[in-house]
Amino acid sequence: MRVDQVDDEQLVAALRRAGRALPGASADLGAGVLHGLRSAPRRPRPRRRAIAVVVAVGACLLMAAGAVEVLVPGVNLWSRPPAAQAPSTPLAVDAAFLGTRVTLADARERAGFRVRVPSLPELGSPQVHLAGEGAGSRVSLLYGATADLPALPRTPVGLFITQFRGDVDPALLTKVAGGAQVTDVTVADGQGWWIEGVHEVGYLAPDGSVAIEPSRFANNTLLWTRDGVTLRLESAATLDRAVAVAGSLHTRD
Amino acid sequence: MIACRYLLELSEAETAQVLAIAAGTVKSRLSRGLRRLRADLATLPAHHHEEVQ
Repeated sequence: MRVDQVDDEQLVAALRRAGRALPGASADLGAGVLHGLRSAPRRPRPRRRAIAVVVAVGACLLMAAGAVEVLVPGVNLWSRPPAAQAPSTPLAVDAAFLGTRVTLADARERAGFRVRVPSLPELGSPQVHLAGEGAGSRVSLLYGATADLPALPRTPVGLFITQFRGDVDPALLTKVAGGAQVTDVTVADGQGWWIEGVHEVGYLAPDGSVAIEPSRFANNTLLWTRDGVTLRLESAATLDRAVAVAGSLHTRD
Repeated sequence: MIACRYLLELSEAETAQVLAIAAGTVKSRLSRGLRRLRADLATLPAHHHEEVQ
């Protein structure tokens, strides 16, 4: 039988098999998600959070199954190993993903949150991009490679920092990290996560919509949240160096 | 909806609870979701449309 000719029953059976067979999935994953939702403290937008968890897990599973080629940006997070075949063309800067190139002042004015930048002079000035407007916006900072921030694969970029309004669920993060290694770390006196290995990360937007955020550089990532904003730092640097850069981030020049 | 009901294998009641929707809405949305998934599958390149079990 051809894939495009299966009936509902066969399609459902295939989905269930896919769910059980995927890395990171276990027999009690659904129960775990339910338990987490029931035991989590109430938040201002319980429905949105519930949907975020489900979409995050579901998107991860669907993508890992190869059933749907979607990626997701915003509140919650999933991660998966990337496709085995690397892109043959240089990635440099993907304007469609990063949004419009703007000045830092513009980004600070138009983003729906307080934009943070590193306070390390040796990094130089970032190339700033803004995607979206207001609460659902995403700000990306790109810095050129330096001696201790080697160029990310297929790019001249040594440091890539993305920030947007949203949260990370630690339990979900470790559960759906795919083949990547997730380690709890301390970032600027707060909780953070170091994700080693090639992976992709997706989010659900604060407005509940599903959007796309592919990992462009497929490298080690430091992830943390501050004041309702998720920050993601990608580089080929060591954990110590990444934490030092992250610790220098501030909201004003 | 598809992820809750089939990948996570939650019951219809649990799916309704997680998504904060009425239990009666689950079935109708599942039906629409499967229809949409099937349509998406139909748009896959030809080499995906090989024989399956």
